[in-house]
Amino acid sequence: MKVAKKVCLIGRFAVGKTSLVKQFIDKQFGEKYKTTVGVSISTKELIINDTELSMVIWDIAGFEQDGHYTHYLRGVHGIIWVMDGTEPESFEILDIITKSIPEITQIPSICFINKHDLTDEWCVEEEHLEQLKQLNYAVLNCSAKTGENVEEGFTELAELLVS
Amino acid sequence: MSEERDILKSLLLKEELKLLDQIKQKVLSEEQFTQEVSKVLGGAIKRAQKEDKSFERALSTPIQKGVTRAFSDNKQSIIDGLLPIMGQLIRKTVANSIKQFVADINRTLELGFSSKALKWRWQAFKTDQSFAEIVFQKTIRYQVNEIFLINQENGLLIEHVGTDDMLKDNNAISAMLSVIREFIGDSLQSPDDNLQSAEMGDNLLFFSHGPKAFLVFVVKGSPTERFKIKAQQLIENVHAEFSDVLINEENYRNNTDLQKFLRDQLVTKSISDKPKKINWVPWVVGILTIVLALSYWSYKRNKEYDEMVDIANSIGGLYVQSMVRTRGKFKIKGLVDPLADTSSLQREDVILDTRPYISLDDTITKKRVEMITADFNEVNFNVVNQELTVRGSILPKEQKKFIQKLNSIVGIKRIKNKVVVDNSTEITAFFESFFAIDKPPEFTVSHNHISLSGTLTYSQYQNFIQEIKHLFPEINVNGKTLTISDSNQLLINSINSTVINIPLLQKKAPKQIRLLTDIIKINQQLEQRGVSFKLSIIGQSDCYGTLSDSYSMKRAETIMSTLIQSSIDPAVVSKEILTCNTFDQTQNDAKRVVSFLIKQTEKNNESR
Repeated sequence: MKVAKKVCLIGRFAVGKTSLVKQFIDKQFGEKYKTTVGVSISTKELIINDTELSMVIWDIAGFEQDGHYTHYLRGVHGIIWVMDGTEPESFEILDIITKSIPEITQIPSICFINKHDLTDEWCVEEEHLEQLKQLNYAVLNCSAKTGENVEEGFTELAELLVS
Repeated sequence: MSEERDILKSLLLKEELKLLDQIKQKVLSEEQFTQEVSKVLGGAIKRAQKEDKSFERALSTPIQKGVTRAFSDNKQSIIDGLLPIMGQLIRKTVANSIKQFVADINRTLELGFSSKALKWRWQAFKTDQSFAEIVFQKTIRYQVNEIFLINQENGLLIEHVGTDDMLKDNNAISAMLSVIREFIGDSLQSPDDNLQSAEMGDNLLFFSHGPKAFLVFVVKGSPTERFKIKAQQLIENVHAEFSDVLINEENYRNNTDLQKFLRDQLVTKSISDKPKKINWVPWVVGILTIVLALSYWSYKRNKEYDEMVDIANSIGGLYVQSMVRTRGKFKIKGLVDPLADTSSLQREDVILDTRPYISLDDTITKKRVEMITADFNEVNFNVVNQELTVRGSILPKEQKKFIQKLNSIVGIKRIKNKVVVDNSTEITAFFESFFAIDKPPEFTVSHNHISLSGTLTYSQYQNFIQEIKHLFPEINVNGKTLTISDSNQLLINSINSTVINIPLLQKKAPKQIRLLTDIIKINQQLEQRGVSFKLSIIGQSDCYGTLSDSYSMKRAETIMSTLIQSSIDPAVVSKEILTCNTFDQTQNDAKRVVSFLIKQTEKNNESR
């Protein structure tokens, strides 16, 4: 069976959303930062439990404004929350979005805490982890640079989508 | 007491109370009551509508408010519900406009006569389609290479058909198209309006929107308005016929009917990128034919006009003020003399609008003269530059009347009167009285000319000429056939033929004397008539002896002296001899005679 699912990446700017997608799809990482304008679309074909899943990944620009995500999130099947493990403020987006779009918590989601390769700067606060646990999200420390947990995270979401 | 009464009541009204209780239950139970009322509500409304006139008025207000409320509360669902109806209504309106537009094009195309148009016309005739339909089919200038049917909400690709195998990642394209559509809507802050089209290189992305999904056509070329209407109709048909596919994501990209439906909408008619070669030959021939036809038509028209101008101008007494050609007829406006001959303009294609006037044209003036002087048959007229020349003859008594008539005619500046007065009667009378003799000469008189024939003496003739010239100075006498009985030449001839025999010098016989007398008389007549002449007297002798020539001279001298004595001018007389050896001695010529010879000199021209 073939299915297509819409997956959106949500996170503050410069947390590494585009790098994670690039790592997942192309197994590549670029040191140079290029901000995303609007949204970048990528697709990845996966086979999950005999299901051919076409994951349409919407890499939404990290622009924090009320209602900015609303249009892009319509009809979304899965959400990947992306935080920066070296930037505690990047976790605040969770509050902002869930308050403006409460129903989003019902959508299958996972959470990447990116930049795990920067161990010296890693500073994830316990209260943020607690908040994520309450939402029953799978939380993965990952690195777009090294590829740590990147494929695992996307695969875990894919399994949620076809289940 | 009370209990007894209740027992009694239950015994007496048990069934009724039970029924009453059931009714009470029905009334008090809202659900049951609603159920009961719903059974009779339809009939009650029908009956009330039929019998109670105020029923409809009572209902109108709550219904109106209810509908308004429904629109405001659930706008989108009502729009979705109305879309198929409104779409059809709008399409019908647009279709009517296009139909009219097509009719206009059809009329325009009807005038086309190219070979292609004729071919299409034949095809339309064979297929029982309108000519405009065929033209539309044949003149499509676009291709629809790809069609994307995309979920309106999440941008997932519901179905895709196309010819371009290069587009592998259709899901990404579908999502991007959705994003573009959303992005433009957000950017322009007009959520109620949708993106209709976007251009990218040679491709045009054309959108048609529905409540659940939208279509994106990848078009190459320039789609017509007809295509846009069709695209909108297509998304409506998708919603109507494949609504189950649209709402169930598991059926996405997995429905062969939808795929076939969309594939039928592809327009894969090849468009040649080669520049179209224009065959100029038929155009040039056509244009030349038109130009030649127009030129010939114009030439013919101008020629006809010029011919009509020539005809009109050739008519004396017609003054053309204007001539126009309308509806194939020449309308000539002007002035016309009553004497003008306009018969050449009495045609079906000529309308004459004229007023009378007096023309000073020479031909008309001549007609006018001829008409006024119709009584004078022997007179001819000619008018050139208003100068009238009159020739012929008239009787003397009519001369005055004739001149008066000529002077009364307009259009004549000068008259050359060459008319002669006819004196025939007077001349005849004079002739008959003048020649009251036995045998008068014959004569003919014509106007001022008289011809004579017969015989007259010189004096009779001279007297006649003198008298008639005196009475009729203009008379011309022709006497070529007239014989003058005593003309100068006859007189001279008689002298020249006279030979006088003079045998004896001293003595003259009576015959000699008579002959000399005649010669003298003739000489005197010639002198009287003014004839200039010289008279030679020639003496001759026979050749016998040695003194012949001297005798010849003596004979000539004798005659000469006799003539001079008889008053003949000595200046005109001379003598000479004819020596005997100049003539034949055997003949009688060699006689002792004197002969005469008169030679006229130039002074006298009168031959008679």
